[in-house]
Amino acid sequence: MNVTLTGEGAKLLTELIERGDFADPADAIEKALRALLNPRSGSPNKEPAGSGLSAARVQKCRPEAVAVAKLGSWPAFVAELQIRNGCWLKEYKDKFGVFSGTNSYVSTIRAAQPIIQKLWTNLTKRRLEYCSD
Amino acid sequence: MLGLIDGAADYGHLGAMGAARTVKHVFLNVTADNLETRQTIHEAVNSIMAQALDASFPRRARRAYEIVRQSRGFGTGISTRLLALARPDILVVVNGESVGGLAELSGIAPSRLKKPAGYEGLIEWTMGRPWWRAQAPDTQPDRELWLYRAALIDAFVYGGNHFRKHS
Repeated sequence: MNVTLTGEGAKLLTELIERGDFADPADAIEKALRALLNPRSGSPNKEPAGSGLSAARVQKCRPEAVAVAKLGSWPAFVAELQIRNGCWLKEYKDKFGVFSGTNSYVSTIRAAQPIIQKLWTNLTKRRLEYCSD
Repeated sequence: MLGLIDGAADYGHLGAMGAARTVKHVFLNVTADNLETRQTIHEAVNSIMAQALDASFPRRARRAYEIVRQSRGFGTGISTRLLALARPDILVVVNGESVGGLAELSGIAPSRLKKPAGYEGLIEWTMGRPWWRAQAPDTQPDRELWLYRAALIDAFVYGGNHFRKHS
């Protein structure tokens, strides 16, 4: 789809990119067009993680959805993480999430930190005992 | 975690180690060879732990990756997992389930991503992203997500095989 921007639109777009809201002009235009074509999808932030997710949202749990996850600014990145977290909690019945649920990336990384920093010559099968020394 | 036991917790995120028998043997059994391997790997991981995030970081991380990967049984997935757990702020896991998505995101070919030069390129790509360059949030939980932001890319590219098997 071809898009022609007015001078004012181009200026606004440049400001948004410089602010870090979008990775580049193509990213910004694609997101704007998506919002226009599917206004109900709205901002990912509008849907709390774990709420009633549509089938389309659940599809975003799949890796091919990376094509639409352009990962622009930090707020956009967090919003995408929230979507994934909600999808995964639903799909894996709260056992696996991105940052919440019984097991998550965040809990895994947290658990790894003390192990990584300790001397590995002392490692044993009883991790908890090892970590508390 | 590294094959070690921690009750019922599942640490399959960032690559499960269930099938990595050789690697688990290194961490679970105290032998002269295993201690030497642990020391080599730990030194490599430690070399990037306090490394500043400047222009030299990708090259230094590449060197650490090369050293870890030289150990028997430590393939791309396990090696990058260890590195990402050590520096989740900047390092990403590359394994069979994530490499396709990472290639799509970064524009680096899957075959290249698994090699040291490609891994270095992936780190450079990461450091150039607007979301990565953003300032640290002041409040939790966003601040913790920010500290782990590079490793969390996995959430966008991981196929979910481990989770489907264990959910």
